[in-house]
Amino acid sequence: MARVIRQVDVVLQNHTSELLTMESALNIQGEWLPTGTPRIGAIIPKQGAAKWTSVSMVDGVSAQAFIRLGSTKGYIDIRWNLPRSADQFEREVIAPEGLHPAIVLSGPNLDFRVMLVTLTAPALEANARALHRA
Amino acid sequence: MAEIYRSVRLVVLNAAACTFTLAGAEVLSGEWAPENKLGLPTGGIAPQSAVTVTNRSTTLHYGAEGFLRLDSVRGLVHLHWRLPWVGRFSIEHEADPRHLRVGFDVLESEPAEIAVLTTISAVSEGA
Repeated sequence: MARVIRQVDVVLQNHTSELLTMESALNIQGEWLPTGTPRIGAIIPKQGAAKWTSVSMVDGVSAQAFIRLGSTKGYIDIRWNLPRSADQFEREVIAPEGLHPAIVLSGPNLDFRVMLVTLTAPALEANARALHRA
Repeated sequence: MAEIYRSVRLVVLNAAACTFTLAGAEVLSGEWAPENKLGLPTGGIAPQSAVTVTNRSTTLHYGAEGFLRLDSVRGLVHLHWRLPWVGRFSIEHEADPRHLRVGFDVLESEPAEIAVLTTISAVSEGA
């Protein structure tokens, strides 16, 4: 039975009013877990969440992938690479103007990372605060 | 069931004293929602009444765009809206400003699911 050597769980929290759509995704190295495979055309509704899992089952091969999500404000790109040298984990999230991504890393150990990406809309939050003060 | 990626819900309120009839309606991108079979104002929009039409996209990378053309004894009103895949919603109108006034109230709290109240009123003779 194949053994998971590297694993990255990516959890996205959509804390905005945007409807996010899965536009593109690819495992550059490694593979997706069946329970965590992105589906093109899937949606993440406002205030919703989703999770994807990329793994490597071959020694020396990274768990490396990207996801591209669409919104009315533009595209959100999430990339990660968990190589053999697990302490050299790389990740990047690029979001369009008006959407702010925050990344929190956790996970049981260096070769099993959990990447929590929280997407917020600062302008909306500012409006909500202004209304609260009024 | 198909995902609804973009939708525009257009409520047309006839605040004038004349009836508006449907002269033309078409989608340029997306489709009419199924409930429009009842909502499209084929029988006209009576004075002080409203109808709702919904234009939506269930295809990835396609927005929602369409137009309504309404006719009355005070002239035509042409409404054209556009919600692109990426970008902000826009709506414009054409009407004879000597006879008709068109106002929009756009609810954009959900950028992919827009609701618009369009109020058509008559310009009084003395104005």
